[in-house]
Amino acid sequence: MDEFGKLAARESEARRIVRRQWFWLHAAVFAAVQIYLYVIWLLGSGSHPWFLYPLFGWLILVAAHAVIAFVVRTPEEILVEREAKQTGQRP
Amino acid sequence: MRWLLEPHGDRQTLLILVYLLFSLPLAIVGFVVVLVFVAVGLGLLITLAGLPLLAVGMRFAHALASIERSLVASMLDAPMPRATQLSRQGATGGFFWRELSTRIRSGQTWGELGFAMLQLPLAVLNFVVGVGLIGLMFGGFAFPVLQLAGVDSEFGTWEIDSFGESLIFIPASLLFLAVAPRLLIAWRPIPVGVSTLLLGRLGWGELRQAVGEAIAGRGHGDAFEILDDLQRRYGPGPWVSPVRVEGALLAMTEAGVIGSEPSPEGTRYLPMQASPLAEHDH
Repeated sequence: MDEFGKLAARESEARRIVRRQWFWLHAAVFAAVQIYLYVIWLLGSGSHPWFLYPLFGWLILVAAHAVIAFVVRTPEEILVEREAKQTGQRP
Repeated sequence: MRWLLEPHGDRQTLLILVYLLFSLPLAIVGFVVVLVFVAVGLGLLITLAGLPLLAVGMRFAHALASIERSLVASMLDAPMPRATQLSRQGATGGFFWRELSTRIRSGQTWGELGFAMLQLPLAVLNFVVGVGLIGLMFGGFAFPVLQLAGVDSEFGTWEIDSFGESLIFIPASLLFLAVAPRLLIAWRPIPVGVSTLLLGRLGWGELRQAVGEAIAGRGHGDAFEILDDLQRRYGPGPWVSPVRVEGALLAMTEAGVIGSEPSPEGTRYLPMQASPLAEHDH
């Protein structure tokens, strides 16, 4: 793997880290908002559990974000990472 | 304080405000036309009459995206690729079918259609922010002007019927006059992010075609030189980063579209006709 390949592998790794950081930020905001809504529900009448609707709706988006952050890779990232593994360069 | 007041005299701040106000009419036209053509086109697809309508919808979305690209690049200073062209690799048939299949297979088209749909809610939000800030900046001065003209005003249930009362909102407006440019700059990454995500892209097929053309134009070159060529052609940005160029080069080398020669300075890439592999094959 030449210098450009190493540069590309580093960029691929950086992209993955950034994607994961965005996901954890999203998950933290999700958790904070859901706890807030749950507390409001608890302090209110506490009858119909309305806080479940935003929880499950948003959970779908969080799950989709998790797939993008941890599973999905672009074709160029797959190729660059495979090349890095073949040449023994840890990206 | 200097940090707060610095953007007041900046042309960029005014351009952001103009963009926020004027992106709405473009978004309304784009949303209505693209939605109508795509929805009717998909509905009539079974009769084949939907195909030309779909093609028109995609063409229109592309034209709209081109306008938006130039607007965000010039007014919001967003990174945006210069003119991109769709890869026609693998497209066969007559002109109409070739055009349609090229567009359907391109990720760029889907990004442009997605943007046409997303642009309206985003433009409404932009407009609300722009008009809201203008209102907050200057609204406080309207009450004394109206009072001097002999017109009583109302703010909720409160009737402002004396000049002294009418001055009460001036401090709030002065505050917003001071902070509004910073708020505009803080808002800028939202329209820039959406536009860059959906429009600031060079599809995988287009990228490989551009890499092939760069190598053919040079005769041979290393990856750094090819990256330079692509950045000159499309402008620097995430669409021609090292990982994208290296990925395209690896894919094209594997597919036998280009040849590669390892050297101590780095791998050199060359068109297949000129590569030693091609000579060996013949």
